[in-house]
Amino acid sequence: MIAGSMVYINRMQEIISDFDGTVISSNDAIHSIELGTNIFMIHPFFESLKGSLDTRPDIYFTFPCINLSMGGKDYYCDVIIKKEKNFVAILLFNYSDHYNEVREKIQKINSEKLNS
Amino acid sequence: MAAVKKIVLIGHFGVGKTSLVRRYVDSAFNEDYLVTVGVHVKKKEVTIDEEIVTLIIWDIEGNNSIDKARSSYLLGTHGFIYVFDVMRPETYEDIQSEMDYLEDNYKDIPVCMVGNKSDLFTEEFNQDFFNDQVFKNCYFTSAKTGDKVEDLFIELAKRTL
Repeated sequence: MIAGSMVYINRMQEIISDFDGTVISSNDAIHSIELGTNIFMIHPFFESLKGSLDTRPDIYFTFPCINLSMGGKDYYCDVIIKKEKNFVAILLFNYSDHYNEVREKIQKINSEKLNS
Repeated sequence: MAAVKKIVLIGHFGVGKTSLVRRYVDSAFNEDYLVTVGVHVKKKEVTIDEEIVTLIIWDIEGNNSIDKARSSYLLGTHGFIYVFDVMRPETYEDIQSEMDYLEDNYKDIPVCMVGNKSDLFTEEFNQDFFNDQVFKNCYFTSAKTGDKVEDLFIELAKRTL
């Protein structure tokens, strides 16, 4: 059980920001983020959510398989965005190994179809 | 402050969605097919009538029909680009129903239809082949040569304002 829990701890990054996107806390499990950084500046994926966060009061979004290039590295993450009363919680789950395996398999299948 | 507009590319796999984005954002092209899983998001700023517009471009994995796309990817979309491959009929044979789906489910969201790989047109097989009414406002682009790619994104950006 402990080993199983550690798998998720190492894969999951919790980022807390205010409604303007300023990062208040981050456990930096995947990517190091300096406190005070604006989350919308980290990657265009987050920037594209700004409008929805501004206008909607109750938000719980789940985004599977988002390719995030951060700090010179590429990740495939599942992302959860939850707007709470006083902050926004952003949870990143790093499933790069899994999605890279999927990508290799689909690449082979699709290439065969395109070449047939 | 720049307006921010989310643009989503949809269409079958292998039609050149990623290549169109690479051509437009990075001015680059690669002949090799590289599958997209999930979504890649890129951005580009453009100036429309002296107004700066930030296009956040979602390049999503290929699907045979839009209703198979993950719904969260389409959330908050300001404009769609529906891409097909002019050389592969299976990528446009259901295009009317795909347009109807967008009209029914994303009313008032502008859609640009794109026939990509126009560099493969010949004298005998060219855009005149696509004379059905559904293709009336279709752009014929080549991510390889860059033909009409910028025009496409600028046109859609204008229509989102």
